[in-house]
Amino acid sequence: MTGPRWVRRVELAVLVLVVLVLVGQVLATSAPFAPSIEVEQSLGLAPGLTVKAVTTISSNFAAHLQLTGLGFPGAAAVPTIDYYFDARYPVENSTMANWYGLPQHLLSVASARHRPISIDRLGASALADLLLQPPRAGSILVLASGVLPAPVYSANRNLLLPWIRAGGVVVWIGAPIGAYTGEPIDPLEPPAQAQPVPGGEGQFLNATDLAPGATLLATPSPIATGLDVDYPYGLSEGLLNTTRVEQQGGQVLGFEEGGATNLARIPLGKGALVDVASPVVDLPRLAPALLNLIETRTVLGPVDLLGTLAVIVAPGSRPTTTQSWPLPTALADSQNATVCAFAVETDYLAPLGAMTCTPIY
Amino acid sequence: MALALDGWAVPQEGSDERRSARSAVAASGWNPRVPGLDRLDRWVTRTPRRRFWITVIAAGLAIRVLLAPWTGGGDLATYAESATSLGLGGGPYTYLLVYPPGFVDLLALAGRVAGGFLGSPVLVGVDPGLLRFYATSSLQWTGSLATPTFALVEKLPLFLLDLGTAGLAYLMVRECADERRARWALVALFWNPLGLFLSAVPGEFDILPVFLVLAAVYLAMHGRGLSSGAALGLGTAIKLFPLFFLPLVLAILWRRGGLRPAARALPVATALVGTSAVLAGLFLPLSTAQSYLASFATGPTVGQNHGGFGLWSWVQLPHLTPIHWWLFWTTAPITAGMEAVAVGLAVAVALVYLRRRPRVGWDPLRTFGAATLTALAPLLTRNVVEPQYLLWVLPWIAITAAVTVHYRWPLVTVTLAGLGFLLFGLGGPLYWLEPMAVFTPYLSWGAFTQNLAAWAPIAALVAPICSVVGAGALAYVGVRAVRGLTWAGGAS
Repeated sequence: MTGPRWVRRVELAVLVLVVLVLVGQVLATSAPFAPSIEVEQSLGLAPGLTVKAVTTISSNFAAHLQLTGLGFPGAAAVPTIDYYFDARYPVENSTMANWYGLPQHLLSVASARHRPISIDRLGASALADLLLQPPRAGSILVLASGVLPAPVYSANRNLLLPWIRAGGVVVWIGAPIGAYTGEPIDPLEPPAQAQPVPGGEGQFLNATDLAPGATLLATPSPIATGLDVDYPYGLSEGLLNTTRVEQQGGQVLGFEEGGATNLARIPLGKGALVDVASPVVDLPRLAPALLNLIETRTVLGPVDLLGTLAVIVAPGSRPTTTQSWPLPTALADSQNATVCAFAVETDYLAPLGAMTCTPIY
Repeated sequence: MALALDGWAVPQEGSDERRSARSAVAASGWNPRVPGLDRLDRWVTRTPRRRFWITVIAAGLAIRVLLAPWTGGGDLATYAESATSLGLGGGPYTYLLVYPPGFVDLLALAGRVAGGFLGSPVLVGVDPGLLRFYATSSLQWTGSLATPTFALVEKLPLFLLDLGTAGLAYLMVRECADERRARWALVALFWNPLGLFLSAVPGEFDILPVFLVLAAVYLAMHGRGLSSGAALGLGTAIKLFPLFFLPLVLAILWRRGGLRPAARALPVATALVGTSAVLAGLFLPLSTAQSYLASFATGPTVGQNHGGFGLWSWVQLPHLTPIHWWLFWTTAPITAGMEAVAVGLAVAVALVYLRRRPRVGWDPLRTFGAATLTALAPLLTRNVVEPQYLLWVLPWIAITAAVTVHYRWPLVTVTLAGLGFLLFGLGGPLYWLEPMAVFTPYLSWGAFTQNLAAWAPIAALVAPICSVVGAGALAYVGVRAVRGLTWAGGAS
């Protein structure tokens, strides 16, 4: 027999659902769970040119961390970021959404780490203006559309390369750098509207700098492990030759396979090209990977990996580790060097991280 | 006290009216001879109530619970990513979530539970096999998938909603017809392979707004304006399609109790939708929401049926260029036209419902037929690109079919079609069984892809057959619904 009793029960079910959604709304709008990892470190020089790092890590959730010691000449300022985005121009080995979304993800991850960053977005003409100015020290330019816009680059124009050679640092991701230029697109036409530039790749990298392509690489390089650069995707058109990268004084930063890598910093003149030889996909991996490289200023210049340690921190615990990292001779001889300890959460989508640095001279 | 539709007395179990209705059905009807159907009918009809309910619930739940932890993929990974992001203090729209914030709010609870009680807010897993698969396929995916724990936590409430929806169908049919037909509706819904698949495998949450729509209509039939409006408002705050039921729910309330209950429902529904939208817009991190909006403003999938925001998210995007605005204003009239047709259909159904007085005696086809046509309105004007959209109309097909003369036939065909869609789902998008390959030793990644590749041609054959069967059932019920609503077809 049905009747008002069942009507009341249905009403109750609706009420319960309303309450659940509203409670969830309140939680969603008031930081439901505030995960944090805190890293306290003391870094000091020990006898025998060794850095002694005493690290205490606390977390309010089960954190899987990579604790890495880094050293580099100079100071530890985090670079500022210029980001090219202009929806009128085409993409190649990228998508409009990922091109637009990458800085959003970078900001979100940095915000979760309580280390906010600022990103200046540039349209095509602003990018051309930037490249006509001398590069600013400590800033990087991120290009993630896979296509250089016509005001900057075409078969007979290249504003980017001289700017890099003058000291600029570019993070490039998408189609091979220099392979495509683009005019403003017609949105009613098919998406692939970038124009190939014959021989364009050769303007930035020699053929010997390249290696056969692959869509996925198997082995993280030591830097990729230490900094949790968890981005294994590669370009089928071609990867970077690790031997050539090292011969040019560059540094392999990504995954490796068969003498090739998908991510490396390659010196060009006074500046550097940080080439991510991969399509712009999987922003949940790409954004933390890039941010780790940026925060540790690995994109700016050579960084020495002093040591790495995987640490599991139980909720509420405060384990302390003591590590002795031998200081590379070049750093030891430097008159102005910095050592840092970088702790980063390695679970997928867990963007937390912390870094402390100490000048050693 | 049973339901009195539109002021008319409803025959009670054992009353003369009920007997005459039943005998009229038996005398005028023809039910198909399907092997085993009579036996199933006898079981449905003669099994004692308690045993019947226990059997239906136990069998339905057992299959669901067995499947739940080890299946997933698709949208479930997106839900897990959003819950993880919320649990880590980020925004829910960071990844691919495309719907109004109601379900996000529930995910916030899941993020809270996971972060606070499971020890870690990380609700997704990754596997090299997944990465390799997606890196070498044309599918755009992140290579993540929900952990079995999250899959179970996310799906268990959906199972209760499956039961709640089937239970509401049972209530409606029982109150308007008889126990046997009500039992058939219950079985057809709770054991429906498509409904079972959608909740237990990909963990689609469509059953939540579907339950709320049924609740809204049921409560409206009982003259409950406030709660009916609340159900409809909450449903719309989760997916947009329940809004199409607003005219009909108001019409039912008006017919049932005059203007006052209808006047109560409207502000409650509006308040719930408005509160949810305003809070989400004001407080959820806009920066992350923008990447979601961008993916739909700049990608090809501007439709998203009537569940998500679709093309209309454009207007919230910053930095739109004149070309994008031109494209928006060029395509918006087409989209708006389709929306208008769907809205027009829903309003027309409500107006016909309001205008036509019921015939003497019980006339459930009038209400359920109107609800079926309303549920069809959004589906008739857009492509059904995801199987879960069929769930919007499935309960109404079952309920309407259950009160027609040949009630067993459409119920059987809808069930068969649902089974076909299940087979298609298992073989088509490939990734439903990913968690089995990743989290258990029973299925290797190689065997998984190999078996599915072998299965794909069979699934491709099954799908059109099932579509035809399902369309046949739909056509039957649709015709009955139109005739029931307009009483053009004589006695039902």
